[in-house]
Amino acid sequence: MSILEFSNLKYTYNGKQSILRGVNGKLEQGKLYAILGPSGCGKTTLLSLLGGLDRPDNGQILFAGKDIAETGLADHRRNHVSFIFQSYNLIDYLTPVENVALTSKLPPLPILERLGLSKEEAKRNVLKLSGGQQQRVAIARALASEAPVILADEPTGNLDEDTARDITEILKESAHQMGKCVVVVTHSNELAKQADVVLRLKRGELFVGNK
Amino acid sequence: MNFFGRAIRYCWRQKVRNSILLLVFTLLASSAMIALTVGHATAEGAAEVRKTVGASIRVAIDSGNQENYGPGIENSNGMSYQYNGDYITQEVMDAIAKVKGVVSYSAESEGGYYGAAVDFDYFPGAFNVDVSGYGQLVPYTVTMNTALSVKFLDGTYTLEEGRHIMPEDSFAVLISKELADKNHLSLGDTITLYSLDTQREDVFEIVGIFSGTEGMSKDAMMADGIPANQGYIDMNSYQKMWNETTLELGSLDVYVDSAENVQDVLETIQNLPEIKDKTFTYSTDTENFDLISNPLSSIQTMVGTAVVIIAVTGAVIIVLLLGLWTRGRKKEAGILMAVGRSKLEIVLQFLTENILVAIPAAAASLGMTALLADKVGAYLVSQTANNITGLSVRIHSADIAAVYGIGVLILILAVLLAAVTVIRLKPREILSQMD
Repeated sequence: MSILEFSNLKYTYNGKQSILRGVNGKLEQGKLYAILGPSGCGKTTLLSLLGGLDRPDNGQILFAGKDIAETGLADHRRNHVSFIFQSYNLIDYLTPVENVALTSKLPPLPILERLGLSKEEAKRNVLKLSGGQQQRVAIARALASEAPVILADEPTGNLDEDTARDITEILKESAHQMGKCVVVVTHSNELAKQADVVLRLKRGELFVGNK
Repeated sequence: MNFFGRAIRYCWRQKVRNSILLLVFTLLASSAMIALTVGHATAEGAAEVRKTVGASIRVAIDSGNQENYGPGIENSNGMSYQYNGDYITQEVMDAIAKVKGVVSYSAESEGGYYGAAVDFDYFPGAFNVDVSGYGQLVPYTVTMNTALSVKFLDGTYTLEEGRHIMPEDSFAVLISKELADKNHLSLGDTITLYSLDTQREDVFEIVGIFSGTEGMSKDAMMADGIPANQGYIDMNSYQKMWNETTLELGSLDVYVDSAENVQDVLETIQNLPEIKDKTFTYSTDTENFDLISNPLSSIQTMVGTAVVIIAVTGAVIIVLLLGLWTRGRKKEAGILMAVGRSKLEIVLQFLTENILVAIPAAAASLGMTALLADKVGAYLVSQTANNITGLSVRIHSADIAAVYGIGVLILILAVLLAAVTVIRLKPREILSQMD
């Protein structure tokens, strides 16, 4: 059964440039999805619409069968989805522990340790961590939340190969072991190869592509 | 983590930003509170002046009315006319003294007595003409009460030693400190004056010595024009010198407790049975009150303007600072919205941070006001109101409430104004702008 379903999603940038022209799809829990496509094709826009960061011009997004426009976008963001951004988007005056605590009431340290941060690193200011470590904190923040959907926008875009591989592995585990629905927008073929389903966005339309 | 936890962490970790804000809040609150406190003190000072100085009513014989004169009598100098109208008597004064609102009364005649120094010396003038055989004649003010004399009220003269001449005094004199020093005279000493009009020598006891003539010129044509030579004698001795058994005054100054109700008191006096049909003229004088209270009023106006300027400038500074800093936190707002935090919670966080800074600023401003308010008040008074010897500067709880109340209001508006530039955006817009 699909957790996130979207139909006829249309989005126009600045009222002129049509980015999405009636996109349809169904996403399930326990799977890692990769959305591929050329730059500017609307991948990030689609992710933002699915995450309730923006509203489509047309179309409907259902979470567990309910329209998120009706249940409220803020509620959708708080309870149903969690984000991982390319630029990490951590709050810079908080420590990793405190950043993770933004989305979860569970103790943040175990999950940070599981993602490879030491206790000392977990209590350091996030700006004093490397890019890879910051991305791990961002992932920890997403995983710690009880949201069943993780939306990741080029999570390995700023990282070196080894770290990118680790992050991909963590995302895969999140889908397969934690039962999350993980949707990753990426340019990385390596990451796409690890995905259960690859979706390609071309000329404003979404296709189920081959791995 | 809730907004309060984030606000505490933000305040603790963004030390530079919050120190600047703490300083700004403290300075603005202190300035406003000092201004209000000084304003309050000047208002109280004015009220005190109103109580102690009030205003005066002059009751005078109607010497300008021809109907009060008898037929002319021819003499060697021409025609002379006898005043047949009423005089101000002790009975009149006693009746006036009982009127509600009357604080005191006094009569004085500036230059009413000219006396030559028999056993001491005046400061000499450029020319010294001795018409009496006793040396130069110098004018004295004949008064019932020197404390109510204009020059003592307006601060020109200050009683340095002894006491003022009072209505019950007889053959008492007040002399200047300069004259006392010149002649090595002190309190309790006596001086002898000769009057050409009465052609008699009289001995006066020095009951008081006043200062204030020091800066005044001694370059007069004659000794009678030098202020340091001029003194005050009492009304009773004047009566005795003229062998008058009944006190009959040409004018009387009646001091009332309030400049505001001077007209009501005047009306009551005019309708007293002892006065009603008398041939007196009446005039009111609020000059002394104005003389003292006007500088206080100008301080109050100045302080009122200062409070408005501080409030407006403070509001502008706070709005600009918070606007600038909040725009720098757009990304944070975007992240918080992305993790499902409501816009209200974000605004509450910003507000809490500023209130957390404002609390120590409030305490610091209270301390600064307690330290500086009386000094600022004293400085303003010294610059504008020489007549006032001091202000009682106290911090009123109403002023504290006003400053903090308006301050919190400005703070809330500034935070809302600053936050609206950020939270009106969609989270995606914020985050894509940041990327």
